[in-house]
Amino acid sequence: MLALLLFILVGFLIVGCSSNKEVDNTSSEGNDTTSENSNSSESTDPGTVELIWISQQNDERTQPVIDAFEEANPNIKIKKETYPFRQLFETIEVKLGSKTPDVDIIDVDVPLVANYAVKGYLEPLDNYLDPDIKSKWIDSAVEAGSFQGQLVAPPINTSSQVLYYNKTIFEEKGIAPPPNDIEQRWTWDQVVETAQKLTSDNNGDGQTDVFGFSFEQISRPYQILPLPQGLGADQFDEKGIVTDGYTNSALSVEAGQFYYDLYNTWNVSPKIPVEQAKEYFTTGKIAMFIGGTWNVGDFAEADLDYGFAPHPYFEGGEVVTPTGSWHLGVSKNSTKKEAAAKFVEFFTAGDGAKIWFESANNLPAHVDILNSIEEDPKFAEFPANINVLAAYEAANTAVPRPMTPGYLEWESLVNKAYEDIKNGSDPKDALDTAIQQIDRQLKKYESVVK
Amino acid sequence: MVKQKHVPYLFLLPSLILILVFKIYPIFDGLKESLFAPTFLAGENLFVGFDNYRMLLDDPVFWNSIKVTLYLNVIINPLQIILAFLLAILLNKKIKGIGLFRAIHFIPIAVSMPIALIMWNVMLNPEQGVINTILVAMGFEPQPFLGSKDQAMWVIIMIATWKGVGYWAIFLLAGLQEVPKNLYEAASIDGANKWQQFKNITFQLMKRPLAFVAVADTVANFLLFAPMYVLTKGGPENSTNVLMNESFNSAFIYSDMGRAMAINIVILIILLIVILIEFRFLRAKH
Amino acid sequence: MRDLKVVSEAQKQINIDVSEVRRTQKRGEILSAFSLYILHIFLAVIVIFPLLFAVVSSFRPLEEIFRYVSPISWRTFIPTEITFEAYINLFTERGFGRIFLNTFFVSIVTVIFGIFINSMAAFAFAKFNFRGKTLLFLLVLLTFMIPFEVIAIPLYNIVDDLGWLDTYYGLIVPGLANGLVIFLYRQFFLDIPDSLLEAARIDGASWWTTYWRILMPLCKPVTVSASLLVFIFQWESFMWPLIATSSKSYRVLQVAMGDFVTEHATFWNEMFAASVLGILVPVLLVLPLQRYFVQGITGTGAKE
Repeated sequence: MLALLLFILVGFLIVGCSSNKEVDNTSSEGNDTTSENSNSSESTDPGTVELIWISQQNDERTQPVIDAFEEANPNIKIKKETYPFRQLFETIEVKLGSKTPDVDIIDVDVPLVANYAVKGYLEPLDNYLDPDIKSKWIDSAVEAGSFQGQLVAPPINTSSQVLYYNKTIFEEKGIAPPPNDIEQRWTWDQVVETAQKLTSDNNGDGQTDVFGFSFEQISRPYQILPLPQGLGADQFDEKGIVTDGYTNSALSVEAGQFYYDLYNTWNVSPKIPVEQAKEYFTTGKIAMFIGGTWNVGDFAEADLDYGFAPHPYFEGGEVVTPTGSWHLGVSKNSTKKEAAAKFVEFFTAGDGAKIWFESANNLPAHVDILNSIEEDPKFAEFPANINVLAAYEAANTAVPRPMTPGYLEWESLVNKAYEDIKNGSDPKDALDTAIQQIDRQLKKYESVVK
Repeated sequence: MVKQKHVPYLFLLPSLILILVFKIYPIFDGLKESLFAPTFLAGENLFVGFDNYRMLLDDPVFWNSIKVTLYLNVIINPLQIILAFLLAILLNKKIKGIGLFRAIHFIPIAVSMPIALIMWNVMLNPEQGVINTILVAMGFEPQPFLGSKDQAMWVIIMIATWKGVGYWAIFLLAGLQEVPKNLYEAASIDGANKWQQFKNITFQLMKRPLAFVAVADTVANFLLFAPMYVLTKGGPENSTNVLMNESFNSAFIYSDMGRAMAINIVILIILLIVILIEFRFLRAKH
Repeated sequence: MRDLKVVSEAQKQINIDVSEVRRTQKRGEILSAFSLYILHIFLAVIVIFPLLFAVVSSFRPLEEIFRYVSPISWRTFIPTEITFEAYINLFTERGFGRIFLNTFFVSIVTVIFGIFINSMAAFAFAKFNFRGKTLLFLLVLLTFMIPFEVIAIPLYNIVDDLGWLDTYYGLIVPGLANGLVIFLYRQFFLDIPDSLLEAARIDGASWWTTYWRILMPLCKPVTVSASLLVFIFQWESFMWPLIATSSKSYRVLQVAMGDFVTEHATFWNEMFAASVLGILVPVLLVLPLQRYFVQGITGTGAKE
């Protein structure tokens, strides 16, 4: 008996000691002002500072940027820890949630900026960076990378989507594909009508062999938001924590109904998991495919005869294209913030931005680089001219995802709702169920949104 | 000798320390965590006592998760145990080549969960998965499988069973081989038929291994959530949203560690109750 | 005279009856053996089939993997173009050599230390009487039921405090104490007569010698089973290595599987190739040791 009591006592003592750690953290928060000096809290190794960067970017592509930075800053070294895309977010939660000082820089998926800011993961960078720096990036990216007026995550990229199509399938059916012309942008009605003509069971075995249309990121909010946004439906209230009446508004439900119809009424889209969508397009099972501009490399490798056109829109509605990509943030618990901010500046606005564009070829958020695309002869021919289309969309039709601290919750539940709709659930029911869960989870952010 | 008193403790020490540090302490930490709620103010957490638990009781998603978890376990545990038992009996028959067959049933053990899930997911694709292709060739309709709120859980049960039955069957096979053959001979001389032999000899003597397998399998299934995470994310329509999945979401998507830990504690409590019931049911009499 | 004749007639009849019964029995046996074989083959197909798809796909070029999934044809199951591209890429581009080595190293070290530590604990539980024995044993059993995900974050904090993140220590040590192994060894030890141990003690052996030189050698089957179980557990371990390590030099197999799903593409062929290799290793270990594995578990339930 005594042993048991002793044991439990010890257990609680240990636990009690660790709770002191939390108190310490809060008291040190007060001291952490912007007057931090680069000499004060750098690493113990005299001279060289090592920055740890948690990322999912491809190592080969980031290496030239890192090399250039280290050359220009000989006493700063970058140690990149690379994670697969799916696991990056959980890893950030575990590491930054434990307030470890072992992380300096993180990749921030742009819709999570508000969430990370609210959880205290990101250090506001206004005091570390040149005040003019914001003009170097496109407005939507600056807006998306700020929280409550402070810049917390500068952008390294933005993104855009186009309507790809399989030339062979169109030729076989003798149908004219959508033109690559902003003035002749197809409406969703045109897309559906064409898709119905192209969906076919070629060998009469009861299984559809060619589907007229598919999204790349099936059911993912990033991809499907143009549907409700194009109809004019907001997803949140102004504070960004209430979805009832927005995510399930009549217009949003109408968008959901359209999505439902693609899969269940017109049967032009395959009910496949999101990871297989691209493979289905490259193996000729899908005629029209809305996907990211980054796909051109893989399509070339797959020997696919394809073309592309601008993203469709609802007739009478706004033209909306998905946008937003990766940003970089400095961890609030980092002990090397000044050095980290230097690297972030180099990558997003300085020389690093050009090197990154050349190395990775992702759509830049840097205004000058974006503008140069149209002039650059490198991008005059197919398929490189996709960047011209993308640059146009990014500057003119891009609508960022909703700004809310509860983005992960919202995204996960809307994703589930859209998956259910794809599988046959009634759109209104699916969205109503979603907003109940979302609003319940978002209540906890009430105190932090002003 | 004085030394003797301490000897057992010395042998026990390494594993005890490890268990204390890496299993017990985290539980206490988790328990403590369940009494807090996030506030997002300067990284401080608010002590809320049992509020997290109270909020769970008000949350229909939580109750749905309890229902789904119990539904899953009530079906999958007896199913797997019975199938494992039958398989063990089958593998116990000494026909030629039985070694090969036993070996084959070992294989799913070597397949890790993520790999198994990926393979089955590709095959169960509602549009063009190989399984549907075969069904269509046999004249059936293609099935939605993981896309249907009625079928999804059954699909997961099937995959988990595919992976687990061989493993448990091996344990039961070991137990079967322990049963003395002469007991059967004596019984048949006494006129007992196959069923009576099974009931009075096999089942009775297998109670211990069955209890072991039942408990271990129950634990594994209660915590089963990798398939939900990889394949369905709890859908469609929350029909596969087991408690563990909801807890994972709370921790990593809703950033609400308190809620996640509260759910985990609930899981542990239910698990203990279920195990106690199983022990009672399978208590061996000599 | 007549009685004898009757008896021999009866005897003949019995002989005929018996041989007929034997014949029908034999027919019955053959029939039941046949149906058993059918049943076995059917089950074997169910077990192997999913793996077949993975194996076949691993030899296909990436673009071809989903092309023949439907409609069904011989092409669905037999690759039209065989390439080792996926396997080669694994080792040249993705550094799978290092990853395999890591996983091997971690698994084997876990086995070695795990067997030691847990059998020692089992020894204490099986052969001694001491205060708190039942309680501690129950504790051990209880901890064996704690799901890892439940304690993931607190565990991460502890390992971080110890400075063991992104090290072999962090991968190995938290997984060493294993209730199942303790349980298996304890059952086995209980069956070994105390007199054997007493004899050794009388001969002047220390407790350690008794444990190591007398008891353990008798337990080879359990050691094999336990080793296999621990090895496979560590080989298939996914969530913990994911959060406890980050750099490539410590990456283990299951974590690396996630590498194939990038934000914009999935390298299916390489994923399948890696899966095949990932399955092959435990299979190659377990199959030859099957008999010992079963033996090691025998007696863990039936007696006490």
